[in-house]
Order: sequence, then structure tokens, then C-alpha cells
Amino acid sequence: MRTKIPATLDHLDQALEFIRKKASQALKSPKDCADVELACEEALVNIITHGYESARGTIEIECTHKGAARFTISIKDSARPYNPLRATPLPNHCGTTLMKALVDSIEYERVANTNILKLHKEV
Amino acid sequence: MQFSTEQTPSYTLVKLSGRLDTRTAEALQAGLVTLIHQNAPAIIIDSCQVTYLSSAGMRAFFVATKEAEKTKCKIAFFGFSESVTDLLRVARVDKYLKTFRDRTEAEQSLTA
Repeated sequence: MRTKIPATLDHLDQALEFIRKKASQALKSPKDCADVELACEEALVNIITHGYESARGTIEIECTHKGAARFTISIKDSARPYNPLRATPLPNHCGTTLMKALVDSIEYERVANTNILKLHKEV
Repeated sequence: MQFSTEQTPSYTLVKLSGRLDTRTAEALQAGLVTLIHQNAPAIIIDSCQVTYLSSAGMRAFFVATKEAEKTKCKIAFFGFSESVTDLLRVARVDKYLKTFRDRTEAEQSLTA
């Protein structure tokens, strides 16, 4: 269950539609689905606008639902290293704060020029 | 996102509906700032029909509020759903916005 999009805001809806569909299959609560969608929007917008800036690139999204307990969205990109877990939020830039609050846990790692962000939501 | 305005004798009512996300927030912000710069004395924003609010939408509200402060335009919001209210609180944007339960309370705030 994965998709790859060009890293532009024009393809954001396509990515969110994919995530929305997978989340609705894995999560029972509409609120949990909405939380996951919004957390992913914030993550993707960060990658497109701050990671790639005006450079061309792609973003790969994979949704997994291992066992019954956890739904995970893995987001991979080749933009410059950016760890949102260490970002300091500005007063009018609250995307990272929202992302952290809307899922149960987040992991970040940089592997071979790739940022890998995993957002976990307990089912 | 849909954006419509209605002029009353004492303020401009802005009605919002739909998704305020990364794709739509820029137009919202531009629309609100334009209204403020047209010397509107006060603006009340009806958010009852807002179904989705991302940080980009919150930033549009924040920028409009700061711009209104500069021009002495009063700006008040009402009708946020419970889930959107929670998001504003989590993002700590609620402390920058004057939010009210309903239109009457928002109107009363303009004369306070």
C-alpha cells in the first residue's frame, strides 16, 4: 500500500486522498482518520516547502497496518535533512506542533540521503 | 473553501465554509487582509461551516488578526466546531484569536 508523488503542492490532494482511503480502512473512528489526515498534511507541506523548497523531488508514502494495534504512515523524501521532532515552532507556524499532537508517536531517521518520517496511530 | 461577505451597519460578516487547508488558506488570507485594508471598522468571521482547519488556515487567521491590530479594525470569530476548537488550543493559536460561541457574543465583543 504505497504511492509516490512529485513533491509539489499541486499533488498534495492526491497524497491525502491515498492516506484518507487507507486510514478509513484501518481506523474505526472518523476523528482518528481526520487527525491522521491533518498530521500527514502538515508533514507533507513541511517536506515540500521547507525540505525541497523549489527543488524537484518526489515523496513516497506507505501505509501499513500490522496486526490490529497500529496504523503507520511512512513518508520518505530525498530533500535536505530535516527532523521535525527537533524543530522549534514559531508563533504563527504551528504545523509541527499539530503533527506531533495528532498522532500517538512519531519516528524520524536519516538513511542514505533519505528522510524517513513514521507517524503512528494506535487503532 | 467558500468565502462570502455581508455588510451590516456596524461590521462586515465573513462566512467561511469547507476546508481551510494549504491549498485554500492563501486566498482566505488575501481576502481578509484586503477587507482590513479597505478600512473595515470591524469584521466578524462565521466559522460554523468550517470542516477542516490546517496550520495554513490558522496562519491566515493569525495574520489577519495581526493586520487588524495595525489598522485598529476589530476582528472576532464564532462558530468553531469542538474539534476545530481543540486544534486551535493544541496549536496554541487560540490565545491570539478572539473567539466566541455565537454571533451575538461576537457582536457584543465589538462594543466592549
